[in-house]
Amino acid sequence: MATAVITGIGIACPLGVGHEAFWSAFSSQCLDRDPPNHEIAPRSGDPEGVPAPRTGSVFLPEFQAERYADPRALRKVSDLTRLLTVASHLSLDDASFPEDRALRQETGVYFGTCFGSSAYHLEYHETLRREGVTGASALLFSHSVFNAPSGHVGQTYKLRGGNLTLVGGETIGLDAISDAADRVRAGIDRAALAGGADQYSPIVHASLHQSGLIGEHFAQAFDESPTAIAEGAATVLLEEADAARARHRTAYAEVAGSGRARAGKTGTGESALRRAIAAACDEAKINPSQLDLLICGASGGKTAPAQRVVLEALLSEAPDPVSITPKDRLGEGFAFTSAALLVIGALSFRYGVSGIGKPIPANRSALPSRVPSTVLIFSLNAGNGASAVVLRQPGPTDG
Amino acid sequence: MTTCLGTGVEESWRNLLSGRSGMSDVTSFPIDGSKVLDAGEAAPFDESVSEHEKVFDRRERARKHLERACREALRNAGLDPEICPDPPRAALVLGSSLAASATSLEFWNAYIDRGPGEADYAMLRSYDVEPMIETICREFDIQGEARLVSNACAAGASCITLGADLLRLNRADFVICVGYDTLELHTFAGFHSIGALSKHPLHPFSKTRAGMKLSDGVGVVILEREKDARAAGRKLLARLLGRGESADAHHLTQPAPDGSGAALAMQRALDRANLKPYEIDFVSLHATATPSNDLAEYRALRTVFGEDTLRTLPLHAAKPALGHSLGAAGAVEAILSVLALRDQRIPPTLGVIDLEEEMGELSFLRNAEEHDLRAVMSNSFGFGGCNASLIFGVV
Repeated sequence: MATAVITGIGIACPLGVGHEAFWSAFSSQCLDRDPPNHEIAPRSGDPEGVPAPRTGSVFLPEFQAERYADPRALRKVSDLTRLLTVASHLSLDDASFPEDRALRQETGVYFGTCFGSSAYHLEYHETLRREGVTGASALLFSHSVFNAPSGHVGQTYKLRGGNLTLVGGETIGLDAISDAADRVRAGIDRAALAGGADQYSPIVHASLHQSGLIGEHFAQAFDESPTAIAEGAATVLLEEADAARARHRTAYAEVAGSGRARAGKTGTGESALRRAIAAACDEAKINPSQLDLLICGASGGKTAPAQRVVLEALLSEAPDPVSITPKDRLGEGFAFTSAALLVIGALSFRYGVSGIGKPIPANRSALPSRVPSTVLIFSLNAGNGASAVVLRQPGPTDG
Repeated sequence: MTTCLGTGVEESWRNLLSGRSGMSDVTSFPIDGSKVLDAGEAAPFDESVSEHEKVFDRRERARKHLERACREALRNAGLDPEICPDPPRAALVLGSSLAASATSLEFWNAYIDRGPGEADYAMLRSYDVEPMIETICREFDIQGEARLVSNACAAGASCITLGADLLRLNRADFVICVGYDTLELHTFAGFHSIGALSKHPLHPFSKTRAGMKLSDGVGVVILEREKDARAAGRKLLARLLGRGESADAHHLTQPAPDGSGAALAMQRALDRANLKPYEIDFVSLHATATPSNDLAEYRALRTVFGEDTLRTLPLHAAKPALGHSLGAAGAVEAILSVLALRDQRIPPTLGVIDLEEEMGELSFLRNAEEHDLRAVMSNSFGFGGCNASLIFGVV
C-alpha cells in the first residue's frame, strides 16, 4: 500500500479564507477565555418569521468568492458549490498541482456534506409546493442535487478520477478525507481532492435548533447545550508520498490511519468511538500513548459526554499530550468543521500547537510550544457514528 | 430487492424475464398538469399502511422497504435475517440520490398555509441521514463502518465499489451495500422540468427515444471476501471481478457527448478485472432513453469494445421495464447482472425500435435467452458526470 500525504490545504469560512488567514484567526481566538458571540445579520432573501436562533458563524452571501477563484467557475451555482470551488482552488494552488492532463485524469473528488445546497433545495421545494409539478425550477433542481458541487469542481479543474459525495452527520467531512486517502493508498486514484462543506440556511437552522442539535449560543465543547451553527468549506489535496516527493512538494502530514464504527444494537457511542480510535491507531501502527495532539470534535449537546470520557481516557494514557476542542471556536458546521478538524491537525505540524487551545482539563498548565509528531482527530455524530484519523508528521521521504 | 416488477429478487427477475413492464399511473402524489402520467411504483409495503404514511411519510416507507430488502439479502446468504455476523466487522454502505432530501409535505403545507412562524421545523427533519443510518445499524447490529454515498444515478453502483474498498482494505469482513430511492414528487417534478421524462414508453437507443420514467427501487448486495464466504459455507452468486469510476468533467446534467468519461470508467473496470473487452459476454446498460445519454453511452461502448465486437455483444436495458430508480438503479441492475450469471439467461429489452443511425447494428433481445455467460458488465452514469462500471464473473 502506498502512503497518502496532504500537499495542499484550502479553507473558506468566517474565520478566514486560505489556511494562513484561518490559522492566524483561529489561534488568536483560542486565546480568548469566552466563546465567540457572532450574531447572524439579517440577509436579504431570507424568509421572514423563521424562528431560527440569531447566533452563528456565517458569512454567506457577503463572501466574495470571486476574489479567490476564477469568476467564470462561480457563476450560476449554489453557495455551497461556490464555497467548495474556492476551497478546492486554494488546495490545488497550495499544492502547486500540475495542469498535467494524465495526472488530473486520475485525480478523484471526494466531498462530504450534511445538508447539501440547502438554500436551493428548500427554495425548490417551496416553489414546487406553491406551483405544482409544472412550476418546478430546472435550475434549482439541477443545482440542489447533493453531488452538484463535486461534479462542478471535477468539471472546473478537469479531475476525472472517482467523484463521490458522502452525505451524513457531523463526521462526514472527516470521513470523506479518510475515504479519499484510502483510494490514494490503494492506487485507485493517483491524487484526490477531499473535504467537507455545509452552508447556512435559516430553515435548516430552525430545524436543527428545534431538533435539539444546534444551540442558541456558542457553547464549550462539553456543555450540556449544543453550540451554535457555522458554515464553510475545508479541503485537502492528497497525493501518494513518492509522487509528492518527485514534485518536490513538502507534505503537511501523512494520513497514517483511520477508523470508523457504529454503536449498532448493543454498543454505545462511547464504545464506537473507542473502537474507531483503536482501529486508526492500529492502522498507523502506534500506541495511543504515542499521540501528542488530540483534536476532539465535541460541540456540546448529547454527543459531548461520550467524547469527554474517551478524551480523558486518552489523556491518562499519553505522557504529555495536548488536546483541543476546536468547535468551541468554530461552531458546529457539520461537514465543514469535521474536515476543518483534520486541517487544523495537518497545520499543527507546520505552526505548532502553542496557543491553539485551552488545556483540557482546565487545571493543566499552559500548552507547550512544540510541533507534534502524531495527531489524532476524533468525533462522534448524533447517530452514534464515530470517526478517527491519525496524522503523522511527514518524514524525510514523504515529500 | 424491491422494484415496480415485484417485491423480492425472484419476483422482479421472473417478471423481467417474461417481458413485463412495471409502469403504471402515478398514485403516490399529485402530478396535476404533468404530461407524464406514469412511473414505476412498487407495491405498497403493507396494505394496512395508513394513507398518511403512504403519502406523507415517504421516508418511513423507504426505510421499511430498505429493511425488508436487507432481510431478504441476509436470508438469501443463509444468515439470520435479523443480525449481521460479527457485528464489529460488519459494515453498511448506502447509495441514494435523494439521501437526506427533506420532502415533508406536512412541513411545507404548514409553512405556506400558516406562515414561517407557525411551521413545525422539527418535522422537516433536515438532519435525516444519520437517524436512518443509526436505525438500520441498530436493526441489524452493524457496528463497523456505515456511510451513504450520494452521487446521483451512479450511487447504487458506487455503494458497491465503496463496499469492495472496505473489504480490500480490511476495514470490514461483511458489507451490506444498498442502493435505494423512492419515487418522489420532488424528483418527478425536477426531471420533468428538465425535459427528461417521456410520456411514451421508453425506446432506449432508438431514434424515437424521448426520455425516461422514474420508479421506486431498492437493491441490496452483500459482499464478502471469497475465502471467508467459502469458509462460512455461503452460497456464492458471483465474483466482483473489477470496478471503475470516473467523472466526465463536462457538464452538470449532460454527459460528455463523446462518451469519454463513461469509457474511462469501463476501461478502469476492465483493467482491474484483468480482462479484455472481448471477454465480456453481456453488458447491462444505463440506457435512460434520453437523447443525450444513449448516444454518449453508445460512443463509450464503441470506444471500449470496438464496433465489430459491439455488433454481437448482448446488451440489456432494464429501464423500459423497471423505470429509473435513480440511486437504486446501479444496485438493482448489478443484481440483474448477477442473476443473469446465475441463470445463464439474458432478459429481453423492451421498446428498442429503429436504432439510432450512428449505432448501426446492436444485439438487444426481444425474448429472454440462454447464453454462456462468464463475465458481465453493469454500467451506471449520473448527474454531475459520475460514472461507475462493475464487472461480475461466475464463481
